[in-house]
Amino acid sequence: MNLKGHSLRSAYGLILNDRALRRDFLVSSCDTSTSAGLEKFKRQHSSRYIEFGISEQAAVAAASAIASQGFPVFFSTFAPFLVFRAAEQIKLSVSYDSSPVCLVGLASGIVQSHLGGTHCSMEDLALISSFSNIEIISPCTILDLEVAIDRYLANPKPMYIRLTGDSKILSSTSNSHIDFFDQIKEGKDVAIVFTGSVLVQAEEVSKLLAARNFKPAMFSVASINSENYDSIMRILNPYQRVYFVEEHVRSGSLYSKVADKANFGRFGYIGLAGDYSRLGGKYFEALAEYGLSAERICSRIVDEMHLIC
Amino acid sequence: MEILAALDDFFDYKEQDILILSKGHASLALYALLSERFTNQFRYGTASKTLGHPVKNRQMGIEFSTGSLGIGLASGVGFAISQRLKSSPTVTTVVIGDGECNEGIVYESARIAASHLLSNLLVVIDRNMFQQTGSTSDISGEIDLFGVWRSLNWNVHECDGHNSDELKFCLNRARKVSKENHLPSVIVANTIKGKGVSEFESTNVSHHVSLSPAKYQELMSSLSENES
Repeated sequence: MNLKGHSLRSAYGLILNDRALRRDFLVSSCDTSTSAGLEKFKRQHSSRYIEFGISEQAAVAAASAIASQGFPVFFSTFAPFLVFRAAEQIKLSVSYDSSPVCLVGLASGIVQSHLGGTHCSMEDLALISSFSNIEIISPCTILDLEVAIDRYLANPKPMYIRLTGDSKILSSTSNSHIDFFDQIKEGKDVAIVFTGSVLVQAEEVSKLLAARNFKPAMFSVASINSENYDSIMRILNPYQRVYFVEEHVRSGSLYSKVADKANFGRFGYIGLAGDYSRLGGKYFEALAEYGLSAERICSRIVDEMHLIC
Repeated sequence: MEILAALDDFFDYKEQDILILSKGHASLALYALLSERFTNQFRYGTASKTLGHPVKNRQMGIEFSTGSLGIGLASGVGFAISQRLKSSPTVTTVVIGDGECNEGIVYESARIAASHLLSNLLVVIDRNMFQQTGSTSDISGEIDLFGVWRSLNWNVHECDGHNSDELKFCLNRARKVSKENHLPSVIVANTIKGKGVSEFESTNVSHHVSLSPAKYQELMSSLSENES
């Protein structure tokens, strides 16, 4: 597909229109089809398009219920209205009940800065990454988005795709389709990791730094809650300094997750893992189930201290 | 309890029809119904399958977790859409409370259901005139439930929620009307909160109460006397 000149969100609708020729799935939105490049899909596959109207909370719960009955479902609307307005439905219907729906947050980050704060979403990852069971992809390129959509269609599971940026975006990097990770430039001393469409700035950053005698290594990472933090850390380990460039607040960012892991040597965290399956019983029984009884706090510390010593 | 029992008789929830108890705090009534089929599942403690609010468990016939008020009808809309996509003749029924009708998502969902002509969606409102901390009129003000649902393009029916014959008649009529005009139906079932236990009747004391073993025995005897 030639998607040159398209933003991630207009490419989204066109990719779905293309995949609809080969795959069986449903597409839904809250009166935002034109903002997601879905006009063609609506025209050509009207029986597979569900319009919920401006009702994000009901739409997320309904789309989740449909997905739970065996239909792959994409649901898209503007990120702030999806993630924040329907946060409870995402927690209960998507995360808690593990409904395999693909949620797509349009115009996340600050691309709609001209429309004011109501239409921006600097914190969506902080909220959605606190829920378990949801894979989060923040495409750096159009190819990342295609790979994310194909991954969902091949094996529908709860997923959130965060679409940032405008039409100034890279089509692909050489290897970004491999687990959403790519080294786009060799370098030394300093590494720069980009997530999302802000990767488009990488080349300019590289030139500006080169003019000041720096030769940074550059990476793109689209998978935000990847299980590959260890391998990311191994790759970044040789660099004296590592910067994460993300169109998001620190909380919930890839930086926060990798830094959390990197700090593990000295700081340990004993808390909840966001798994609802062990609930029931009385409060202190539940605390014990989640490793927060005095005995389990103690044994966790002793075990880890023995490992360290 | 009578509403769920009537629904259980009327529809085939063991097979294809879907029942969602959106007023999840009434879970004991649902568990009582399910206990006939899943006796070994009822225990208290960690990883219990019968928590204070129903948790999704398809094998037990619980299609969706409920307890956060209002969410059940939105899920019901999704189930009704998926049943239609499968060309299934089955029905999704959602039981909600009159207090629950305070929630905005109820009306979002009702509008979507009518605009998608979900004639395979049925809502039963357990109208007991109470919510957690008082009467619905004191807490929420006077609401014309009938007018609100009619204005959303739903077929509206009314019956005595304790009378199983009346409930079944109303369920039949609701199904027939929905099939004819392709719109979803709502049954407003008038009930008395705590019915059958004189000290609880028409109060919201029983909304959340723990009974001592002695009190439990006393109330069970009183219920048996009433039945005989």
